Amino acid sequence: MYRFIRRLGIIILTLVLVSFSVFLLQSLSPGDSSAYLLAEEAGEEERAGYRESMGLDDPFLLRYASFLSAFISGDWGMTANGLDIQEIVMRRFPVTLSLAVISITMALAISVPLSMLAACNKAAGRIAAAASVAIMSLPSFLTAVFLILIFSVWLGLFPPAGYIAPGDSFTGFMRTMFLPSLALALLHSSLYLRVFRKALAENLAKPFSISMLAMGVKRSELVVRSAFRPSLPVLASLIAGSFVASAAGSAVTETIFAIPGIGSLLVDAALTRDAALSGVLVILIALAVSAANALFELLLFFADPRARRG
Amino acid sequence: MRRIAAGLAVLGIVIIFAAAVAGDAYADGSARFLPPSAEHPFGTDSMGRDILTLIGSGILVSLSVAVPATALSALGGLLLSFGFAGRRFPSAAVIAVSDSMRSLPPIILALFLNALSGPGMAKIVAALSIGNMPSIARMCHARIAVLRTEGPAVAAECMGVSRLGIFIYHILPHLVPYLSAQCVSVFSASILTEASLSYLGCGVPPQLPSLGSMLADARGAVLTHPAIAIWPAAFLLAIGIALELVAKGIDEVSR
Repeated sequence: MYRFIRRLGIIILTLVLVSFSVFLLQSLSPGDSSAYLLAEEAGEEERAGYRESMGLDDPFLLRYASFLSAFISGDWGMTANGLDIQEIVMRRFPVTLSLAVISITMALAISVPLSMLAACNKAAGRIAAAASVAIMSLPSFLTAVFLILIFSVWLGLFPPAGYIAPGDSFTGFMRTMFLPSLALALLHSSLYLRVFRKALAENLAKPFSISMLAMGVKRSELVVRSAFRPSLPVLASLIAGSFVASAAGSAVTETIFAIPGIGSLLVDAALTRDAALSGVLVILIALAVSAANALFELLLFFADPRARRG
Repeated sequence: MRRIAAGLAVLGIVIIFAAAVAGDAYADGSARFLPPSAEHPFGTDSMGRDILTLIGSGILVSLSVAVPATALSALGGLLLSFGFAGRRFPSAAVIAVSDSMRSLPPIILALFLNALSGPGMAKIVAALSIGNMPSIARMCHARIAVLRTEGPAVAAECMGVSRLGIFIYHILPHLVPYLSAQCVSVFSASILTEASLSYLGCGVPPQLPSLGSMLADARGAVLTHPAIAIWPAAFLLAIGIALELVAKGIDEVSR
């Protein structure tokens, strides 16, 4: 019970801390909207009147309080081009969410069988380790470009960029999301591989495994049936870390693959110097990641009895 | 031990190489897309700049972002964790704050700072340090909490050694392996993040060369002139693998 309250507290703390820093940094930037919205010839009195009505002269904490309450109630304002932020974000958020979920699933699907194979076969293990080192050392945009080169240009299997909503065509959705999710999944898997292999190795060295080997159970059977399950919990904390990594990786990946998600929106905002939009996005991303971690921990609590003991 | 030496050796060679070839790569419009030659050992890029010089300067720029960022996050993480390890409430506060900061990856922070006032090295370093501080703080905090209850530290406290003295003589030496492993991973993450940011156009200011922006320029020309993309990628890979070797070596040695 205590830990849920703690998790909730962390989410609220994240909201406050991040929104405060965002607001602070935004206010430190020079200029305010009276410069754009009033005509050039507007006199000092008009400017003063405008500022008073918009509350621009209020003390800092008061302005922050109204900023925070506006954020919570969903009034996120407009982008520099006059588009409604809430509408755009609500449209793009599920896209990034599905990218994150699909990539984590793919990463598990790649790394778990590969680790088990590596546990049985030493040569495969070394190849997998070398491959994961290589992938981790490359920046994510390079792996993405290589994937496009291999799968789109040479093999012609998947479209190099673009996005089709699942409502329009489910196969189109799967095809356009495959490469970007794979790019993110490769990033996640290099970490998963390393940790899961270590966990498997530890479980294979435990007394129960040694006695089963002595009794004549084949190593591969031992890996699949007995060492696999105890090693699963380590993946839990890895998956929690993957939420943050997905948020970070989505910025580059979505830009390269032209996926209309939150990451590419943030990059656009950064390139067009849109302070309001990027502020909202940053707060949202931080909130989303903490909420995802909290939900995941909730899930674990119900799934794994050992997690309940703390 | 051998791995650490090998990794550091590769890094050293890369750095010395970069320092040797770095310089002012001026754009020569008449010399665009030249193949490798005696004057331009790696060829020239789309604006006629010598790729070799660009790579050298680019690596130095990446280093000058990654080194301060790593140092600052290590320092910040240490200060945060040391100051409060042991006392119950501030300790919980530090953990809570660093947990909440952990949900903000450094690249997102850097993009936000970019949106406010354009690209800049100080911004990237700030975003990277703040973004990486929580994980170092968390790890140090956990370690310090354990170390403080062990023999030498307790004995020193009983003898009246000041907290700072205990920290320097008894706790810090044991933190070094964990701290250095974390620092290596923060360092390689910083290099990759800087490359990604420059690729997107939100990294170092456009006048400064960077491996990431070289790769961004190469996008259009990669099929006809692969040299523009291959060399930056190769050097990034080399630096990454060297850092991985060092990290694995530290892992081995500390066990």
